[in-house]
Amino acid sequence: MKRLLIYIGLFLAPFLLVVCVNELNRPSQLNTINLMGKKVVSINPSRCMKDRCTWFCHNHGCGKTHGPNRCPHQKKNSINTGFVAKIYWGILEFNGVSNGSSKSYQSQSVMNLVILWPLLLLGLLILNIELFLTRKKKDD
Amino acid sequence: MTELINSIYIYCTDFTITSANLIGITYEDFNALIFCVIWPLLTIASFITLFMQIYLRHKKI
Repeated sequence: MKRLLIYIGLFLAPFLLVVCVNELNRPSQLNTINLMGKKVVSINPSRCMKDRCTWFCHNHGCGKTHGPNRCPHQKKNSINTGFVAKIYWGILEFNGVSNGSSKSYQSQSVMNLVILWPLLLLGLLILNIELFLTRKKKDD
Repeated sequence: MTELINSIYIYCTDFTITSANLIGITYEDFNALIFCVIWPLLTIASFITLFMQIYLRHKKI
């Protein structure tokens, strides 16, 4: 029973972290973004800001210095370059970012990155703990 | 259902944007750090540990 509670805690911990970070940083005034022609409430604004990332970075990329969607940033990408950037765009393509339907991209992203991959990690963690405890019991 | 998925998507994207701003890196860097570095490394490490444990278990029997 105690172990089950620990596993439930492990399952809920990342979701609690997401809720805590979002709710502690929720601004007093509501922001709205345009998603598939609908206006929806968001925590971060949709306009370009020089000192921080916003939904503009999500929609058009971070720190573009030229073109119609330029938004020069004080911060620049340092991790998302080279090989890592190739993997990053591979994941986005896998989720269907360029198949023309943002609806399917969003559902694929939620399915793969919010449900399936975290569940795989949790499953592996639980299996590892169970196997370790079984081996320890046998050794004793 | 679509609205629920959209809400989850927006909430999670807001989390990545907010976290990136808190840490002081860009949104794309934060995403790359989580999805291209930390999670793949954790997944590979978990599989390696799992196979090692299975190997050790069979070796003892």
